[in-house]
Amino acid sequence: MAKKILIADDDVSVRDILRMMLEEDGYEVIEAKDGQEGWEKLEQNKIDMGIFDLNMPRLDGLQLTKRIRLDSRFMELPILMLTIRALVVEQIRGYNRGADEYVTKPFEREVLLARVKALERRLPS
Amino acid sequence: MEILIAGPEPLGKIWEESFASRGWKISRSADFKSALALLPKFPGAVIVFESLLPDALSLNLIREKETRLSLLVSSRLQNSARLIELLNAGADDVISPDMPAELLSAKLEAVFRRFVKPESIGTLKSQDGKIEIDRLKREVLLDKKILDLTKTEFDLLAFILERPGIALERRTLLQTIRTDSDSIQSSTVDKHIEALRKKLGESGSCIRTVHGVGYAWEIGTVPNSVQRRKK
Repeated sequence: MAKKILIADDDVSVRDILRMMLEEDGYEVIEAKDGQEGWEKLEQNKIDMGIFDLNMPRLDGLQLTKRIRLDSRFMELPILMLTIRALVVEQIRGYNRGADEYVTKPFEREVLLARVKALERRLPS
Repeated sequence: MEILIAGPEPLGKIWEESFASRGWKISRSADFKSALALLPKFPGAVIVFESLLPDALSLNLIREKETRLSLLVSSRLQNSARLIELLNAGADDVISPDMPAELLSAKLEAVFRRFVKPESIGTLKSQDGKIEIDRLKREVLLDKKILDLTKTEFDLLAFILERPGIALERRTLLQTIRTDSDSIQSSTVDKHIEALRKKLGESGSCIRTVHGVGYAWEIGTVPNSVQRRKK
């Protein structure tokens, strides 16, 4: 069965690109336009991985990640964070809040897919 | 967490010291062959220096055999083609010796979180037998009597006792007791340690202050798990 990936990003063009890349590689994609909607989608679907933008209205990527890590239903979810800034302090904060990996925008298709696959391997089989 | 660093001196050595201060146990091997020999029984994560890898394919071979191993590659070549190659060959992450130590630790911890931490299971005992910690029950016995500790005090004590003789930095300790509030200062650690020492009575003196760094459990008090490993 296709793995379900939740994309939360307020930029519709980023969501479109991600959807295209991931679907082409056999993943099923669920979209959310911000962290709050992301949370709702998470509760409604059986999601296997999250790709979140760092900066989003209502609930940002870090807040969403934190909420997920504190909830026993979702705490094991692999999370990949997207960011335009690659500031070291920001990355450290993200990892410490529970993000598994960072990819900076604009991202290359092959890098993103390699990261997604590497993250999948970290899941208990 | 145990880490096997397969890399040449002196770089591996520098990391070794920086990781030890975070409470990670480090083993080393200087060449690829001896690292391979250690892998099947290795309980933790492995960092392989790119210079030791014959080619990316050899990474693939490790990954096929050791599917549950946390495998990182240290590479100075951070171009995306190389990154993709290493990730696809089975690396969980690619790190660079040039990365700031803090970022490196944060990345490693993100990888480690995905694996069962053997240290989080079972019991710990101080060598003099005075203190016993049951992680599953979250219970501490001092001279066979239950000690009433707060959650933070329990976490701190378990973390320090597990790593005897290692000077643990305040920020490392702060991380182990991190709560929802982001406003905790490193003085918070001092406050909790002080409370812990009082509750531990005589055994409280085993928590040594390392000036300018943090705290360490007095060596001479070795947890059970470490004793077992030495046999």
